[in-house]
Amino acid sequence: MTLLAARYRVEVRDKEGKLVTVLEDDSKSFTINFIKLLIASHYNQNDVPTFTIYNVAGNVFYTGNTQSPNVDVPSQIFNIDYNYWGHFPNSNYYAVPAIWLGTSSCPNPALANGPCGSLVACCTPVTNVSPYPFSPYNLSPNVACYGITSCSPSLTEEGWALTITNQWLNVSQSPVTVASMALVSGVYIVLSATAEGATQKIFEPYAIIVDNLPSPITVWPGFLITASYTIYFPV
Amino acid sequence: MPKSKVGVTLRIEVRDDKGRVVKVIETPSRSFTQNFINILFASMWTVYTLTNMNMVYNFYDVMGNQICVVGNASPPSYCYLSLEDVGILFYSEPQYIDPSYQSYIIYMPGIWPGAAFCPEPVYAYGPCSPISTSVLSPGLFSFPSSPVYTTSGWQMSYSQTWTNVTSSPVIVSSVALVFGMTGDPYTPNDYFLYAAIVDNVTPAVVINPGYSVTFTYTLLYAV
Repeated sequence: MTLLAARYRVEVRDKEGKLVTVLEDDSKSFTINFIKLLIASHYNQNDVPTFTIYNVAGNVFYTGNTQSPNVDVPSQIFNIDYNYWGHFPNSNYYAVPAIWLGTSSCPNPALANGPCGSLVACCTPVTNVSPYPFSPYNLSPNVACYGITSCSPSLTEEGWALTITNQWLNVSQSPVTVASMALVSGVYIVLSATAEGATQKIFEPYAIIVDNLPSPITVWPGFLITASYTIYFPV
Repeated sequence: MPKSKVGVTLRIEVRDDKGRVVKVIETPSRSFTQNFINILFASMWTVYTLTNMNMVYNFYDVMGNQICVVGNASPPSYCYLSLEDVGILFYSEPQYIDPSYQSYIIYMPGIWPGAAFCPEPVYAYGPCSPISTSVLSPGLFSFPSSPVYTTSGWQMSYSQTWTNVTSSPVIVSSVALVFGMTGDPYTPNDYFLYAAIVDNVTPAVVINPGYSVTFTYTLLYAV
């Protein structure tokens, strides 16, 4: 039996723009967190099943509305809208869609909550705090679809293709190892509700796909890493 | 090139009036529709972005009505209906379907049968020449309730049985996996029906009076 497939590609370029590393392969792992959100989105608010979901940091939330915090019926589970995203992992940083990088391989990517090891590419500072080692390079609020994906689908020989690409620049003073990557989307959960009906919602990034790179790669200061995922829907 | 581009299998099982299996067809599914992929793309963006970037996504529901996703912008004149955004795209329950579908041939999510082949399934709005529920009577639509992990990947199965309640044979030549989708300002209680997958059944299957046919779509997500 064959699979609904995704494919990843990773490129590293040096300061002069010269290509120094290329990795490309079939993606291995849609995550269990994604599958649970996908299943819950088949239901209405009266009977949506309660699943335990973990955000990229490993913090728990639930589908349905019987446990808190919860996402109720998950909506827009493929959202990569920079404008819609929120603070993560705390109010000092803003989350950047959509491909995040980690320093270690994951023991089981299908069960991982995000890239493993230290998160090195995910977020930009909004206060005077240290940045993450990687800063987004091609993300632009003024470019169609923020420059990270085509705004419309393309029909290829492999079927309908959805490609998402992030470029990250090593802005640290040290080489950074990248061993795992994740395609990350985000949902909002209800954190609390008052008797008057007011609610507090917070943004929860979760991994749709997690992959280990076949071997860790080193990205030197000033080098640019380009990571892309393409999901194919057969035609 | 991906080594595995096909992710969907369609199984068709015909049973006689005593419940005995008389025919089985199992084939890779061919066609996620253009409508599905447009809805999926629209669902990646919020009202603000759709509006400010002048993005418009169009798709057709199962009745062939053109629905536009336009944010807060004024919809083009060709739109039958406009949505501000897309929220849910895999809704599978019979409740909360937009009332306009109650007068249509079939009016809830499921795997719909059609009497005709579709010239190009990828661009079809549903099965071609949908078969009335007074001819093929639908059973419950079964859809995933919990994750199923197999050695082949995460497995998502959808299944529905239809029984010929007439006194004449019925020919099924196409099928479609139909979901409900919604967006603001209709969220959460008004779902619109669209075909995510459409396939021709080759050769067409004949369902004799009293016989039933079960369609099962199995989607595998790589692990």
